[in-house]
Amino acid sequence: MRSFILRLVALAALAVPTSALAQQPEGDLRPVQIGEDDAFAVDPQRAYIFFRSRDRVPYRLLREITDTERAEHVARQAERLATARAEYSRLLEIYRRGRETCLDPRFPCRVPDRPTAPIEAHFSNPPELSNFVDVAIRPRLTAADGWSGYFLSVRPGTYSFYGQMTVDVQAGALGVCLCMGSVRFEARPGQITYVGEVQGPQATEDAPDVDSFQLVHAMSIRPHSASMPMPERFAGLNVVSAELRAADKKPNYFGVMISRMAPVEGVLGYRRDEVLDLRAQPQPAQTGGN
Amino acid sequence: MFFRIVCSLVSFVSGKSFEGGESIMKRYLILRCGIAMALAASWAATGHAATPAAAPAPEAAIDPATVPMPNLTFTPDAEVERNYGKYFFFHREGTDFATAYADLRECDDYARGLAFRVRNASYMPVPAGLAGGIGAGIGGAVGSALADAIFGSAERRRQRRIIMRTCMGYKAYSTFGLPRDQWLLFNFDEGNKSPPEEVRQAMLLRQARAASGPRPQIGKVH
Repeated sequence: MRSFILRLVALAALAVPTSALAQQPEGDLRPVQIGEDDAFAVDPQRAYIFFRSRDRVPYRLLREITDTERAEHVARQAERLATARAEYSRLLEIYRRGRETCLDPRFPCRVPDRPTAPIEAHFSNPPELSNFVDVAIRPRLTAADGWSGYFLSVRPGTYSFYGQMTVDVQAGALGVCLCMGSVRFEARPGQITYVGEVQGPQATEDAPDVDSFQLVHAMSIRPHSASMPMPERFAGLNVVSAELRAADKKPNYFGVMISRMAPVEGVLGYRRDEVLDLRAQPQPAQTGGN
Repeated sequence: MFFRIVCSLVSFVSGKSFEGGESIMKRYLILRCGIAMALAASWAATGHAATPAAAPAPEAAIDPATVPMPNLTFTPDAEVERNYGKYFFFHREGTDFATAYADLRECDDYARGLAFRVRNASYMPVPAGLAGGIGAGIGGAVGSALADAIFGSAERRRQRRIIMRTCMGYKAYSTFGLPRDQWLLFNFDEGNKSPPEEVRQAMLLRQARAASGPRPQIGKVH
């Protein structure tokens, strides 16, 4: 009974509003996860990503920053820093005048607090932090035979699997990032990009504990093939197979556990920890590890 | 609350309705949720992400002869061997000092600023007269700090060990155990606080000496 209630709570919690898609104003390219009950029509301004997962866990995708976006981000940060410094100068002048006044025995008063100078490091967040796309456990577009199909409407661009993880401002970050190697693919406007099937490894130990340490890959992917089921709702739509490429290492932005995507034949390999793009230059690869 | 949901969610997916293989993340979640549910893990950063601080760029090439070689000889016993999972160092055949140092720095970067934090865990008893209101707030705050210092600290140390083992494992380093007293002389953990940057780098340099030195004869773990 307790277990049932727990699952019910989980289900209730996962009842993510599915009307988000309908409510999005035109031109808004924020990502939307589309479920089986959501109506959708392909928007030529947006890209669509579909993949199947054996494990019902949250995923994070990272959309790569373009050179233009990076330059804009740097300019924006510099502008914010300049604004903060100008504000600091203004507050500092007020502080100095107030201090002079209060130190005058004729006008005794409380000396105001000295303002804090803006720190450059506070204005240098990596632009990637605003480019993550979360894939929640629900809603799912399809669910059959133990597989869940996740469908996303996103801003066109190059995406990579960043990890099996979830981030919440209140609760924190939890999961595993594929910080030491993953796959990337293009999501083009007006197309549904069928990525393939992802799943975690069959764990032989209870947990990745140091005492029973086993070096594994937290996630594996099978690129899309004709044998994979196609959602009925994609009939007549422009569905393309993702062209997977190797994605290089990335920082552990959220301070979670680290891992990497399992090698993918002809796509992703490793020479020890070096990520090899097997499409770019086919060469013998080893997975490393012990 | 969110963590409770995540744990419920994990409980749900690990039930009969789930027919697939169990991912590392799910196993990890299931095992850790017991602690996390009670302690309600939270995040240190107030913003969107806790961007870990990266190590400063290394200065000019360091002469390994200027870095003392850690003492790696010892006589193993049952107690020492039991703790190999906690107190270990890395070694790779044919690796030069500069490469080992760069590898250790990279892995150390991955292990910085771990997100696991404990809060809202009211372990400190609150006087009856103060129950609720500000009293509960004080108790919660003190309890959170205490709980984090104990459980959160242990979890972050554990996570750091796994991350270092994973990262250095991908780099094909072997792991060797060591008695705690010897380990402490050139290693650090980040349970409750981080070492000053210069201390950190000095430790990493000594670890690089061990990693690129003669092959250890005892304590092989992996």
